[in-house]
Amino acid sequence: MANHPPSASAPLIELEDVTRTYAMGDHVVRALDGVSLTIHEGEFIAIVGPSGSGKSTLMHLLGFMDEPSGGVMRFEGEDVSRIGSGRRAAYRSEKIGFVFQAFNLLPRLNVLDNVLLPLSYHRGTIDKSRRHAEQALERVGLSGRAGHRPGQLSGGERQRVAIARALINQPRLILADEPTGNLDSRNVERILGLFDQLHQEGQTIILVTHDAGVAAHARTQVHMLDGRIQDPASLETAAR
Amino acid sequence: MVTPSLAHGFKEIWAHKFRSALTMSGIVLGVCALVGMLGVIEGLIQNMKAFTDTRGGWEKFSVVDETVPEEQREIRFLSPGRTYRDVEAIRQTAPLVTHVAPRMNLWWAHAQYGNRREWGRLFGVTPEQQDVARYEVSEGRFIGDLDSEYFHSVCVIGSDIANALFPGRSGIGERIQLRGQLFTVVGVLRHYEAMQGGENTLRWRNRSVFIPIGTAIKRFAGHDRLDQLDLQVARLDDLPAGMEQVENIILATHRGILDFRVVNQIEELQAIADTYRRMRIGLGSVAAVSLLVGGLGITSIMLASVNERIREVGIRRAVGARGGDIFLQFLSEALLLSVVGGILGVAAGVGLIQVLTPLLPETPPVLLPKAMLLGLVFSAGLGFLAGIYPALRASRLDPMEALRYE
Repeated sequence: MANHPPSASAPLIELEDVTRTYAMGDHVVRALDGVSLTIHEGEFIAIVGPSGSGKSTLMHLLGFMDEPSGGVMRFEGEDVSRIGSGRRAAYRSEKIGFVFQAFNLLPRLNVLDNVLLPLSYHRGTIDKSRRHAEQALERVGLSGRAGHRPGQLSGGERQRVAIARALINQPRLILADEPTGNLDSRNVERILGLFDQLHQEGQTIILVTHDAGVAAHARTQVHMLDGRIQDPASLETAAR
Repeated sequence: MVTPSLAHGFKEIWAHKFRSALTMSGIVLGVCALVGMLGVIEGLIQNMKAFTDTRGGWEKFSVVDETVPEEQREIRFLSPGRTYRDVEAIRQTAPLVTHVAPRMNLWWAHAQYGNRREWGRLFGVTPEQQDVARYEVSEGRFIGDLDSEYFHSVCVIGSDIANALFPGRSGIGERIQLRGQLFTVVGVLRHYEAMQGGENTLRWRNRSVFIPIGTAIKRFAGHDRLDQLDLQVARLDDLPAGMEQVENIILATHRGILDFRVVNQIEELQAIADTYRRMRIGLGSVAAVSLLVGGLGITSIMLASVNERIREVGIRRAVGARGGDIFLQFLSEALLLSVVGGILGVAAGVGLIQVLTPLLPETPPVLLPKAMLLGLVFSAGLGFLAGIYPALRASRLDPMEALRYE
């Protein structure tokens, strides 16, 4: 944890008693039921839980895809609980990088254009050159594949492209949703090794998985069940 | 973020070449029809203008024969008919009338020079004939004022006659025989052409032979009855008053017998212009309907495209696209489809006019920049309208659901 900022600095993300409810016909589903969580810069956290535990909902909130129904969410010390879809898109564009189980590359764009895609929506000052995308591909070991279509790549390679795309906007936080779910064991190791490497470089990473083996790569594990975090005390101790 | 979405729009169109072509076809056909149709009508109008121009302008009017009314049948012999005396009376007493152009038809006659002969139509005219009927002389001069007064034996011949009698050279100053009498050629008319229904409706002009009306009366006719009496006022504003003056004068010279009528060309020209206006509206609405169908085609294909690309929308939203970015992306794709369709349609319209030109030699269609611009503006506007709804649908997709969409 050499790259951690001083503990005195504000945490990257704070959740205070966050709830997220959905109306399903007549009754209300509480997907998140009072979640409190603090994530510091440079942490590598795994959110673990069975399906329906609320881990995906939590990931959507952390990734600014969604808004909490109740409670407070702060990002870089700022209250972002209810900021509306436009500002959430701006946060996604400038602060977040997503990695998905299904890779979610655009099949008609080549690798380089897929990596550059987030920058076409980025309104801040950032290097939008192809050179920058090539560097991102170098970081994931795919410099030779820039001109390929996603369909011409293996699953592991596609996921590395997705990671390069997640890195291109220099995000404060990378959110990976079951990033190894569609990969064979060799590629699982490779992808997880890449996350380890990014963590070493100081990148904050949140990994959502139901696989305990994958979760073991993270420094901290958050266990979820029925919309709640299990035993927050253990989280505190693990973070030290 | 218009530029990347435009570039992406091109890629998207290119990726679905066949579908895009089908989508655009409605716009292409509509714009093509618009450009072609307006071009064909413009060709008709220009031909009509060329034709009516040779018949004199709006300021021209005529005294024509009319059946004597029932109550005057018994006394119709009192009127001498339309004669050269009418011409003199009008010249003396109708100040608004600037041109008096009587014409006497002497029908067909051989024009002969040496052993060359050619059939021509012989007319007795005054100098005003040139202005009123818009004759242009390519060589020499027209009939002059003194020619009629002094019964000069001079003539002005049409281009066909000149070419037949004097091939490859000027006939000015040469003496030709008309019905056995010698006339000096003082002028040659320019060649006239106005094709309609595969025929040169002005070909008789090229076979005309004009001689002074005084000479015609004295040498050939033996009477001074006129076959045609055209008149002209200086300004269109003078037309009603000028016509009334002439009517009063002729009523006097014809001793009150209503064997004539004074007519102008305005009603006639108005009717023709009206016809073309109706054609333009009728054919224009056909093109408009076809454009509209094209627009609906774009809407439906764009809706299908949105449904196909829900996942893509989710991905784009996840990496930071706002609803507005998605809206712009789909709108610009629709706009691009229609504008490319419009450009192809203009090109097709140009092609259509090229194809129609040899098929309509008498009224060659005209390529109107105005029509091309109209087609482009129409297609762009239509693409914009057609794209709004699909783009709105795409931009309102829930990012999370879109991302989960299989």
